[in-house]
Amino acid sequence: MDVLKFREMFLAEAAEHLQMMVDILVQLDSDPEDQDGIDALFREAHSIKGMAATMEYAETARLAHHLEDRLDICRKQGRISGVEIDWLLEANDLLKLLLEDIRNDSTERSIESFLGTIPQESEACPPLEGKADGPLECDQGQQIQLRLRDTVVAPGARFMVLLKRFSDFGTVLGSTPSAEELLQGGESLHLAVTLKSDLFQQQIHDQLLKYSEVEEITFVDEAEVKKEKQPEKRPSGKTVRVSTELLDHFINLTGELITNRNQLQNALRERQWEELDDGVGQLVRLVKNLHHQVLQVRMVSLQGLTGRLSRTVRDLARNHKKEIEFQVVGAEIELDRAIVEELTDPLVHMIRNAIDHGIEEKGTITLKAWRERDQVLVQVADDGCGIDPDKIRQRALEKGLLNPSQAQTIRDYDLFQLICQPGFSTADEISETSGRGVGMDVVKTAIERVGGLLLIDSSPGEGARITLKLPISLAIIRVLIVECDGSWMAMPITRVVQTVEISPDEVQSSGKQLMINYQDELLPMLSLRKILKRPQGSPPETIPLVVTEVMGRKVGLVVDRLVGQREVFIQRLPAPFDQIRGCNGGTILGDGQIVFLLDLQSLFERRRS
Amino acid sequence: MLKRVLIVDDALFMRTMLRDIFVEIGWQVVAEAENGEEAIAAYEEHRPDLVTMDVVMPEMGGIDALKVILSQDPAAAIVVCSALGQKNLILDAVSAGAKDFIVKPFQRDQVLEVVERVIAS
Amino acid sequence: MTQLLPFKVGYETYALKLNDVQEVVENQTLHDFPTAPDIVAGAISFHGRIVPVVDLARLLGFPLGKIGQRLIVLVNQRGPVALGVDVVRAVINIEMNQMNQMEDFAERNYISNVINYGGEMMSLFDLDHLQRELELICLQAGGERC
Repeated sequence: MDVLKFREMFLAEAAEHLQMMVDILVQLDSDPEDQDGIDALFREAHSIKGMAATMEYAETARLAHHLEDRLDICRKQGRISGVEIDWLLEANDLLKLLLEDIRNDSTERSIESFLGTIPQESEACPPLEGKADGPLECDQGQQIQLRLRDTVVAPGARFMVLLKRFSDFGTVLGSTPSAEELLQGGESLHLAVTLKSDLFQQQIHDQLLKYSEVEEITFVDEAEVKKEKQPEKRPSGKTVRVSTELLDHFINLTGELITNRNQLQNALRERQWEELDDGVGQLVRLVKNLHHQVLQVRMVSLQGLTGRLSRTVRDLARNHKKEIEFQVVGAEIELDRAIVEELTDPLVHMIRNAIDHGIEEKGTITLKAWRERDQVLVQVADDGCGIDPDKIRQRALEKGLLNPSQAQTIRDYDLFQLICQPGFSTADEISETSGRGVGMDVVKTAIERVGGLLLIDSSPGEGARITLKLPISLAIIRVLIVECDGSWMAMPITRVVQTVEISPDEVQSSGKQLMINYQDELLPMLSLRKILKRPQGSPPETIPLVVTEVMGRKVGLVVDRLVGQREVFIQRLPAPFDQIRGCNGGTILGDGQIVFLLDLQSLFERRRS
Repeated sequence: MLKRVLIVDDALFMRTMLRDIFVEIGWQVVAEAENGEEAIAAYEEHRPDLVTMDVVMPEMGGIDALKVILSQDPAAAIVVCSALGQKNLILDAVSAGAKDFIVKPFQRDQVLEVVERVIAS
Repeated sequence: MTQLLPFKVGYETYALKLNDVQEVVENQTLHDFPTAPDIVAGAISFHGRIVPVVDLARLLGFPLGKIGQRLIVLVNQRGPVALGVDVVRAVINIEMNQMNQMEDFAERNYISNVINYGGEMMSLFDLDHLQRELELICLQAGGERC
């Protein structure tokens, strides 16, 4: 028996189940009574246990068994608490470590200490006690629960006003959410206040009735409160897990900011300009640091994707009866969550292509990720037969994407980019996996949507490499600002190959098309004014050019002026204006000027249509 | 004696609207101000029973003006007016001491309810 | 009782329900929105957000005025939008029963109702229709311009 082969299968499969568990747990976090979710979770744990036991990985099986037990209890209770979700996520991490041990051929680590942390059943609730109306002056105070109408615009601020009102009635011993939470923007329609007061319930009730925003007022006994507390309420909505290390960074930064504020206030009071200058310099550094840390919170590694991808490889290899090894390098590289989410389908598609068209019988697919300055590069490479330039050329001619003279002069590299043209496909027959016609154009669109760039490279007999150049973060990107007809416009720096200023003498013409020689290559020149239907400007002494890539070809985009690079926060435009082609959002610069982000690709598509 | 109100808003439109409401319920509008600095001066001069204070105004904004007024008269009854999208500013204003708030665009009845509440407490 | 905000575009007096209005802003700097369709006059920076400005005169086929002087920023579930108008008048309060259902004017789609306010006729501006038209125009933007 080929133990190694089974081990690989087990590892891939188990990782798959673990990822699934994480996904479900995150969902349950916002909907802890989702029976289907809890059931699915139980099945995942059960599968892992079964597989691990078969493979005789004792500790892994034992931990999975404990998970199954916990989940069985949850199933019977019909809900899963936040504490349990946290514990299960930790157990999930530990299972991943155990899989690592198995992969490395080392002994599975002990899970004994972790099992000690299994959440205990909560203590039995104290007996209920009836309570008559009377002054709310007992030591623990009384809890008053309020619910706001769902039309209330600013519930947080409304509760702040109400909390102040409560302090007119007596002493507020505590509230959920607390004043601090409200100030930090916590929004909920429910407020629970513990109040100690000389007033009678009825008096307080009457006062509260003056607030038409309040829909429901409930006076609750402390004993009942304790009972109510058991099903722990967690905030709904998308949650992220933040490492305590990162939180510590935030706390340190806050400390530094406070020091900085004191320094600035001091300098201002004493009119110490030098010190003020110093302080502002510090502030610039701190804000930059804060920005960086906040972005960290949104970052996830590619690890979450690799499980699904290796499964795709395995399934396809089996279907095609090909022998394929899947290697992952740099899975620890982190990207903004939104980009990673966008990346899944394109990567699956690229891998399918590699198996379908690239590798013939046996080969290796490598997924490699690395950082280059403020970009992340993700590459899918295979060692198959490579892309045949002649086939592409033939196809492009048939499709009318090239004319015969272009077909002769076009360089292989530029030829490969044509694969991403809509409707282009070189598969000689329609295959079940990649299909025909749809494919790389969809991939390219998805990559460009997140501000990335897709490059194809291949040498006959040495396989093909598709490289994605991606911004690390979606919201904040580096742009090149250009001027055109008196307005500033921006384009993502990831889409810019280079900026140059040329003399009008360097412009050549080929038929109607103006061309420019750029690094021994003739590039067509396109005018941004023309594309945007703006009047022609006066002829300049030097022509500012942005070398960029559209429709798979390098072009020189003529602008009025190159303004420079900026790091900007991109806003999505409100619907339906986000549908306007050629624009991918905008940003407001420090001086209040609005600059729109040009989407060159769709501008050109729009020009053609 | 007539109750007296100071209306602070940079938009003529909002001031007119509030003035109409107060006049209708028999209040005296002692002054109108277009920014925080004018508001502080007008408050000092008139000591009104109530101030309606816009949050976002040119020059000095409503929250700063509110803080100054409260530092001079801790009993000042100030209600902030703010647009829908400024929840955080409302929070800041309330924690700085605003007695209540109204969200623009508002209905006459909402203004009346808040005014009644603030004057009663 | 309903509160309405009357405004003028071209020769016509329209009105919006006050509940649909977020703010009336004046003398805003209008920024170029290079890829937008004609009926979008540009965009303003409104409390830190980019808000596109619809040139109502152009949309409704009236002679073009100077955009940016008076803008009505709408409360919109889907996102803010500003309407460039000629004149904004004071808010009026009106009982719903004073509204007369408008007769079927197919060519005047942007009107959902006509209100008789003390003898003056005002057209209640149809925001749903505006939303649908904007969606269409934005989707097609580019195609017909080239």
